[in-house]
Amino acid sequence: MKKRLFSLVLILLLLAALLPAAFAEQSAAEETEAPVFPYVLDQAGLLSDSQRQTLEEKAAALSEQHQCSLYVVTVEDYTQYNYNIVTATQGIFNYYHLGWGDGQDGVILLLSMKERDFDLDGHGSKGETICGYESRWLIEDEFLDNFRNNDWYGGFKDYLDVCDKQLTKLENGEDITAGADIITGPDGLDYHSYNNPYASTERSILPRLLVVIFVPLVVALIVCMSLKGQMKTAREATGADEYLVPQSMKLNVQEDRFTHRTRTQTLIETDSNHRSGGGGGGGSSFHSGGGFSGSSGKF
Amino acid sequence: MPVQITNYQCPACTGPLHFVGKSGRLECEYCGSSFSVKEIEALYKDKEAAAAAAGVQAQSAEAAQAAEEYSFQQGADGLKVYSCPSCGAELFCDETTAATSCPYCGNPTVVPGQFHGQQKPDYVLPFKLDKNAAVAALKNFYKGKKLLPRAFSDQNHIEEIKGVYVPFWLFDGRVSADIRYAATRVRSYTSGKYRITETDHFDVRRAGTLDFRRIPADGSTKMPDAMMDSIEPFDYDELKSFSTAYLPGFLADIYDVPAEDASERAVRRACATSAAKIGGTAVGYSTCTPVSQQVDMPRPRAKYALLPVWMLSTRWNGKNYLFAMNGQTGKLIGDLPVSMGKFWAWFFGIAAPLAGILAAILFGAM
Repeated sequence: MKKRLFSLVLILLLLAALLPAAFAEQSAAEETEAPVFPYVLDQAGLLSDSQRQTLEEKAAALSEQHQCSLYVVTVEDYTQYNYNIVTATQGIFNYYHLGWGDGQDGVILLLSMKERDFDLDGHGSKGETICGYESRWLIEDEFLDNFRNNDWYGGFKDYLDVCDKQLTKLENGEDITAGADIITGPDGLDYHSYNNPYASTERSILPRLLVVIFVPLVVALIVCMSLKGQMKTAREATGADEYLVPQSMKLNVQEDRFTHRTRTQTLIETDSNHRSGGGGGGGSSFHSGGGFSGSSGKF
Repeated sequence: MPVQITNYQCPACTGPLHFVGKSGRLECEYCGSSFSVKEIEALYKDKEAAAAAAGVQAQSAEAAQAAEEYSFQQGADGLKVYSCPSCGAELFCDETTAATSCPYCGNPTVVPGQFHGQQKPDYVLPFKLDKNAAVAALKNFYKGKKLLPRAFSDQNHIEEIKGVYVPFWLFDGRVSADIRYAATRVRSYTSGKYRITETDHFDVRRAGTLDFRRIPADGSTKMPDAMMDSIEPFDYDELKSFSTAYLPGFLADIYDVPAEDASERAVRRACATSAAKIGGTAVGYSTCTPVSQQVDMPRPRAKYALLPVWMLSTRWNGKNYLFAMNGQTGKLIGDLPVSMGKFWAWFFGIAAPLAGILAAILFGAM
């Protein structure tokens, strides 16, 4: 009960901070209803007006076509709204009664820029299906490469395109998981072959083949060159240590002057942030429950 | 023509005398008599003085004649001709030869005139090891060389072995160094989710002096520098004031690289060591990179010494192989031929089993 209250308070905070535009569109008569939520809400300012408008129109058209709403939300830091990015995303979806129709079919992609986190969640039968355990990889693959290169518009466009593609497949009764290559790593987490850090030791033959070929060659070469080095023993001397008079070194000047200090800080890779994405190129974690299924990670 | 060279002959039987390193005396091969260096110096003092004077006279004559026409006794190939006092045979020697032996009668001969004036060495380091020790050292040198062609060691015959007093310059000097470094000291710690790395930057300066004593540099163009460097060090405690009495039985050359030219190598070595030693005093830093340095050994003082070296040469597959052994310590160096067959046998002998083991480990679990 406490958790629910906490979430509600945080969502209200989000509402106050993020959605002045949405409030502006509310009519006085609708003051008691939740505000209208745009398909593309760029709170982090990643898009130009024209890009946002283009995406908004595209998302609206696709949502109507498939009767499954497709949302994009960007924020500076999700921790201002909830301690967990998944809870923050799902909170927005629930509070604003997002989604299409009574079943609230929809997919929402949230980007939090501070530590480059993303969360993808699907709701309703269509949304949950295309954001299911295997098929979500196919959606992630489309936008993560763009986001890693700071191509926000391209990433959102690809996200909408792949949702369109998956929803079309779903409507046509086709396999929406085709092409999703899932591998379980030794850490127990599942990885897509695209970004599986353990693929080299689990499945790929090439790296091991290269090890089998090149390591022996390098070791043999080092040993043989060492043996060859024994055959050439005449070398010009470069130093004169033996001829230094003992205790003869006298230091006249010995200055150590501090000039300046430089400071760098690096985010520590921990199990928790690895499991939720592990930084650029890492895996993402799957979650399911409460009417949602989806994944979150880093970009 | 006055005799310019001296044969050291046994006062008892007139047989040839040789300096023997083990005993430190001159010994007669025929009657077995032995004499101290001082005894022989005293005996041959007058003869040497006369030979040296004759040599100087001949050099003056050559110089005078050379001004008018090409040297009569000094051919285009720079050879000098001496007459053996024992058998009268003509000895053709290099310009730098100071001690040799007559190829006809075998008598050891010394050319005292070569050591006249500034050409006279300050020191001589007598041979301690004999020819047999050099041969044994070479055989031992072959051991453990995995890539040495079997035929080289089996069929190998030493073509020539000679004990040579090699002219060396021994340089003393003081190196002055003034070096400035860019140094850093790095400290890391964690703060929340972040690893903080703080790097303190320092401007470090060290200046000082270091003294060096008797850095050797060979003064003979005949001797490869790398070989002479590689047989170091010599034990200078056994240096003797120069006397020709240490030379009989060995070859000796005078220098043909002046001290000024040879000093470059000694100074370079001293400066390298000085920079390293001075740099070693900048401690407590994570990195220390020299940004400017002034290191020099001005006006090194040179002493001239003859140091003992056994030179051994062999021939294999139409190619000469030269080895040098320190005549005092026995340290032997030289370049050996490499059997490419053995090289590849070792290469694949290591690579193939290792590949098999790795394949079993990496693919066996599949």
